[in-house]
Formats: sequence, C-alpha cells, structure tokens
Amino acid sequence: MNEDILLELNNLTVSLRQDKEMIPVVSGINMSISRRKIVGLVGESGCGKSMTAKSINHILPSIARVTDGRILWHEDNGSVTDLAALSEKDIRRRCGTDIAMVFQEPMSSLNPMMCIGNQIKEVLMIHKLERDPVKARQKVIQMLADVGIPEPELRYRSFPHELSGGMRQRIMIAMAMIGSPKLLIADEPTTALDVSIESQILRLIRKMCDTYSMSALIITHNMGVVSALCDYVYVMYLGTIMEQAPVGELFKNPLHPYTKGLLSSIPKIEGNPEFLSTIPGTIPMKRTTFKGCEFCLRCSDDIKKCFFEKAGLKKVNADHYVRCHVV
Amino acid sequence: MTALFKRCLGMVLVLLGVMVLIFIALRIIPGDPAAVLLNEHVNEATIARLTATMNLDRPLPEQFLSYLGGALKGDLGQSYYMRQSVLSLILTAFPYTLKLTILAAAFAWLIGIATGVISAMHHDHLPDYLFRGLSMFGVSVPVFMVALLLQYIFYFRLSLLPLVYDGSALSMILPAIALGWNSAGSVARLTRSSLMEQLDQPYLDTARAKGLLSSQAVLIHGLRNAMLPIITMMALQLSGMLSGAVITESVFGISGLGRLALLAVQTRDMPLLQGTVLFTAFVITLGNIIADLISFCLDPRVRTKK
Amino acid sequence: MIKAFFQNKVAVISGAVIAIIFFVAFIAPFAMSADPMRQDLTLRLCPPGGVHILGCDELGRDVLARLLAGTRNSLLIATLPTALAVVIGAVLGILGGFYGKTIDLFITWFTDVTLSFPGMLLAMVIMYTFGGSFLSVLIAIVFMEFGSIARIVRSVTVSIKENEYIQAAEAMGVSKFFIIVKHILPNLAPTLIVLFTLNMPNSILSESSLSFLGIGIQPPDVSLGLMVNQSKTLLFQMPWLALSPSVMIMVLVMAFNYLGDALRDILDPKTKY
Repeated sequence: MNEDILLELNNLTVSLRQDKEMIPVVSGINMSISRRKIVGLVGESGCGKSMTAKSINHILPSIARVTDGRILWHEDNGSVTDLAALSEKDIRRRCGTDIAMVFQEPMSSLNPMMCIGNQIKEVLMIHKLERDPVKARQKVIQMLADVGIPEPELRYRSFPHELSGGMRQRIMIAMAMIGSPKLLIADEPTTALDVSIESQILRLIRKMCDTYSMSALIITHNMGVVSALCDYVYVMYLGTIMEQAPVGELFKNPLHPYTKGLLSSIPKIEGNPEFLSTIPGTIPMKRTTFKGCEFCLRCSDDIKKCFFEKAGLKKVNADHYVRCHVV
Repeated sequence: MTALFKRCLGMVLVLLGVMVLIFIALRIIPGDPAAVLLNEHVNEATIARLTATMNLDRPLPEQFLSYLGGALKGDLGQSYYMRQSVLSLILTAFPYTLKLTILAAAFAWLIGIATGVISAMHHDHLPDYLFRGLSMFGVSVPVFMVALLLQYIFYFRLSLLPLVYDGSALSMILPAIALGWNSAGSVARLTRSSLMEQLDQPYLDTARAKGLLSSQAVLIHGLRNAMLPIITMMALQLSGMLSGAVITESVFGISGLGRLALLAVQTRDMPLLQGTVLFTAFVITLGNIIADLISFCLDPRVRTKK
Repeated sequence: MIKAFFQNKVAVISGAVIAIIFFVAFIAPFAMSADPMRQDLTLRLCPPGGVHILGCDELGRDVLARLLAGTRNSLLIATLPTALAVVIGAVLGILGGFYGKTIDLFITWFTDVTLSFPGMLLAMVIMYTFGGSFLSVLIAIVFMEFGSIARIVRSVTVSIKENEYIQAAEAMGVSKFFIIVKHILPNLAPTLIVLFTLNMPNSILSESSLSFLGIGIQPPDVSLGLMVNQSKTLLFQMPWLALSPSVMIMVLVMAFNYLGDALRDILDPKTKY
C-alpha cells in the first residue's frame, strides 16, 4: 500500500440488534482507500458490504451500530480524524462535501415529490457552497450536462418518475458530484439498471473520478463491474475480508476458493452455455459465532483445520493478501 | 383538465342526490305534512297558507322541481318559524360556523401534525407512548364531554375564559379546542402512521448522505411525502367537524349553522332544516373539490398523469 | 389467529374490558336491587358514597343503577346499527366491487351522497321525520356508517377479484353468486370484523351525542348521553353527576378503538382504513 491514503477502516465491526442481542454482520475488517483510486468491495448479497459502506457516512439503519473499530479519514493537511467517533452534526458536515454516495435503486432513492434540480441544488444549499439561488441553479444545470443529461435546463424541473432508470442514476451521480467530494461511495450502482445502460454508468463514474481526482468505493456483487472499474479489490464473505489484491493480480491469480468461485460464476462467451458454475450452498441465515473459517461449509478445498480455526491474513506478494488455510 | 371536469360533474350529481334524499326523507311523514309541520295547535287558515306557500298540495315531483328551480336561483324557501328567507338565515349563521371550524381545524392540524411527527420520530420511545395515549384519548372522548370539561376547568375552576360565546375572540378559544379535539387525535394518529411508512424509504438515506441531519431529512423530505393522505383526511374531517359543530355550538351558545339546524328540528321548521342540510352538503362537496385540487397541485405523479 | 389474539396484550386487555362491561351491564337488572327508574325525592342529589355509591340524581334516582341501565341501552343501540351498517355496507361494496360497470357507478354515487352530509345533520333529518326514539337513532346510525364501510369493502373486493384463482373460477363458468360466497366472503371476513369493531365506537359516540342534544333517546328511557344531558345544568354544582356516564362512554370508546386497532394488526394488516 502506498502512503497516499484517504480513508482507512481499522478493525471495523458493525452489529445488528436482534432480540436485544448485538449480532456482528461486519466483523473487524481492515481496508484502505488511496487517493484517486477506485476500490471494489465484492461479495454476495447479505455479506455486510452495504453495512460497511453505510457505516462510513453514518447512514446505518437504526438497528445497526458500529460496535468496534475506527474509520480514519486522512485530511489534506495530514491530520487524521476518526469518522466513527464523530457526532451526527460533524459527520453531516462532511456528507456531500467530503463523502458522497450513490445508491442501488435510483427511483426510491430520489424524493418522488421534489423536482430533481432542487434535489441536487439542496446539496449546495445545505453546505452553503453557493448562496445565490440563480448561480446555484446554473451550477446544477452545468452538472446535469456533465453527467450526460440531454436538455439539462428542461430536465431541471422534471420529477424522478418522469425519467428512465439510467437517467435517474445519472441524477444520483450529479447529486453526489455537485459538492466535489473526495470520496464517492457507490452501493451497487448498476444492479437495478439494464445491462445496456450499465457500461455507460460505469464509464461515467470512471470519468468523474478522473476529472475530480476523486477516490471511489464501489460495492458490487458483479465481478464484471470490478474488472471494468476498479484498481484494487476486497473480497468479502460473511463480514470478513477473504482476499484482497489489485484487480489484474486477482483476476490472474485468484487464491481463495471463494474468489475462484465468484470468478468462475461469470458467464463466458466461449463457454458451454449448458453449464454455469456456481458456488454450492447459500449464506447461512443465523449469524452465530463460529470458531472455524466462515466459508468452510461451502468450500470445496476444506481440510479439517478449517472447521476449528480461523485463518489469518497471509501475504502472498506486495499487495495481495488471502485468508485461507489451504493456500 | 378532463379529470377535473369529470370530478365537478360527479359533484353536481352527488348534490342532486343529496337534494332528492333530503326531500324524500322530509316528506315521508304520514298524514297532512302541513299539519305535522305546525304541530297540533294551529287553525285551518294557517295550515292552508303554509300548504299554499310550500306547494304541499301538488304532487311530489312537481314540488321537487319547483324547489330545485328555486335552489338554483338561490331561493331556499321561507322559514316558517323565523318568518325569514332560509338563505338569509343561513348566510347570517354560516360565518360563525366557518370561523369556529377554521379555528378548530387550525388547532387540530397544528397539534395533530406536531405530536404525530414527534411520535413517529421517537417511535417506541417515551414521547411516542405518551402522544399515542393522548391521541387515543383525543379520538375517544365525545365532543360534548370535552366542551363541558373545558367549561368546568377554564371557566368554573380557573375563571380564565368566558363560559359561552359572547362575540369576543377570547370566548372562541374553548369552542375551537372542544371541536378540534377529536380531529387533533385522528390527525396525530394518521401523521404518525403515514410518516412511519416513509421512515425506511431510501430517499431519506440519500438526504442524510447529502448532509442533512436525520431530523431535518424527516421534516424536509419525509413529511412532504407523508402529507398527501393527511390532506385527504383533512377534507373528510370537514364533515365530521360540521357534525361536531352542532354540539359545540349548542354547548357554547354560538348561533351558527348547527344551532340553526337544531332549532329547525326543535321547531319543526322543515324549509329551514332542508336548506341547512343542503347548504352543509354543498360546503362539504366544495371542501372535497378543494382538497382534490390541493393534492393535484402537490403530487407531481398525479399532475403528469392527467 | 386465536393464538395471535391472545399474544397481543392490547387486544386481550381491551377485549376483557369490553366483555366485563357487557357482562355487568346485562346482568345488573337481575343482580341489583336498585331500580334505575325509582324516584325518591328525599334522596335528591345525594352525593356519592354509602348505599348509593355514585349518588343520586335530581329526581333521587340511583346513579349507579341508571349508569348500568344507560350502558346497556347505549351498547344495544350501538351494536345493532353497527352490525346492520356492516351488512348493508358489505352487500353494497361487494355488488359494486364485483359487478363493476353501471351497478358500481350507481352504488358509488349513492355512498358518495350519504357521505356528503355531516352525520349529525343526517341524523337530525331522521329525527325530524320519525321523532326521537330507539328506532330513529338506530336508522340514523346505520345511515351515518354504511357509506364509508361500503367504500372500503368495495376496494377490498376489487383487489380480491384480481386474484388469479377467481379469474380462473370465472373462466371455468362458476356462477357469480358461488364465487362471492365461496371466495370473496371468506377473504373479506377479517376486514368486516375489523370494520365492525372500529365502527362500534363511532356508534356509541353518535348515540350519546344525539341523546346529549336532546334529539336521541327520550326520557324516561336512559342512555349515557342522555344522562350527561340531564346533568349538564348542574355541571358546576354537582360535577360527579356528569362524570360517571362520561367516563363510561370514554372507556367503552377507547376499549373498542384499541381492540379495533389490535384486530386490524392481527387480521388485516394490509388494508388501510
């Protein structure tokens, strides 16, 4: 890892309250996001990816809480702030200006009763980035044009239901970008969209990161998105990081059985159409504490040790780490 | 526009139905209507005069058509007991009822929405339990009980406010609270449930991710979406309020529409009762159209659908 | 279903309160010596305590006995028209929702008409025609309530009708009457139960309001609203006279409201009322 780090998750643990019990869904993960890099966080649905993302800008649902660990934000001047310890007031001051977010379902993530222009303008107003309403409107229209909305002046007064899914996600991106944040968190940004729109949106996110020299954390279950967009990848299973590596390295040399499974689940053009590789089993429902490896019940390579001992994170080479007994 | 036109046409049909219904309901009394109207102790001449002025000797359809024709011209007939035109009596009484209803509605919506929002934002915590209990109390006490209780406390015990309406603004406070009390309870209950539905909507996460505090997000974005059913209910409540106004006006001695109707029943003044009921139905219908217009203007989804 | 009811604390408590009040009110005439009608002018306005736990009214009648008799009357006069209104509302709502077209238009229009005047004025028209009596209060309450019930039943029926098994039954040529009895009614039952429970408090309030205004139940009959009416002139001197019937109305209405809310959560959480 290089020195130019923007955000660091340090032993982050997020727990859900269930029947007066706190059940960890993210258990002590370490991650770091470098400046101007796009980092992917991959895993099946329900493995704690979204919880990780939402803990960064404190928008966890009311039953979830960060129970341990730190979220370290490296300021431009070199000082470090723990976001997890900030009060709501202080974290909100950073939301929209330092950290912005794009959500999975653009329809329900936009307020159906408010025209999109005003929803974007709201960011400028909240943070007093632009006090003059006319100039603010100009900025919004410029941003709409930047994310590829045709006729931005007309669209300013449109309502979410009048737009297509792809357009809505562009609006969400415009809303995220208008405060020129340093970090963009995109939670499954293309899952709800048509495949044909997907690549356009991914290209747009890439372009925005380059123009604004911004970092991004992309949450996805889709290895295709990772290969198209990311510089570095974390593979997560049941709240634990299983493998982490630069994208090229991971695709060339996947080591963890789970990563291998995810990669072979991508349908291939030249492959046998009758056969699509899957990972057997599903994510266990009850999150009980289990002393063995989280993945052992679904693993094809498991050895006896896997059931009784958690694997440590092994360094494979410079930037490649894996958590597996077998490797 | 066509939707609005259809709505208005529907309203006209409903009003026509109201007229027919009242007209029939008031005329199925067995026996000579005029004699029943005037009770027993009047002479033949009076009965004859009344029968003639009210066309009671003609067949029912003809009576109805002449009444309808008159109503369209603004002539609702003559009050027998008060010996004045019904419309002028109604128009003198209506401002009092209007003032009372508006004040009561203001009280109900202010208190109801405020407590409902607090309840929803602190759901399943102490303020919520408190306000839920209060709003249940609000919808469960009869209007007359609130009225008598208020009189007992604020007039008899504390001597703060006048017992009955005397024309001053101060004497309007108790009637307005008494009338608004029930509605405040139901507005609070609906506001709570409607806002609770919005609380787990993803757009509130978006608002927080933009930099709004949770409370701001709920008040600015959540409440805006929760308001539509509340506005619809406000229109429905107009009818309930005019019902309650009959009781409030009678307890506090306000000479509004409700008291006029009560007087009409007690003095067996059919034209007056008929006119009052028709006028009230008209007001409620108008209120429904206004509520429709408001939600039409507020909801962009309905607006584009037209 | 029954298990869910007994697990719901609110439902059990409010249900128990209602059951106890019903039981006491209907058993009272057989178990109590005090006659609600017997006047004893030596006991005029005697304050609560002693033999007459709740005191006596201005004619020296025992308030407790009158309270129980009034509760019995008020409950009767609330239950009957509510049940009737639910039946009428259900029939109209099912017809409108199931058959659609002209019948639906007509029924919608008719319910709109009854809903566009304030209940109290509608009741007054009926009082004017029939005079204040049990029967006219009953008719008035039915008229006040069946419209909104029909409206809800209609919308629920429409949504039930959209189910594929009903369309399949129709396609197989099953008769409409059979579909209504076999498929629609059972699905509608929870809604009807909840509607009945939620309309009970309205009926109690309507009856007591009409009697309070002097155009409902007439003396010498007793009802809770009438008792408040008779004691309002003595409100400041003898507030306890108005207190017991008022509290009884409130407890009944609250219990039914809580029960209705709980039943809706248990039986019919999807439909909005």
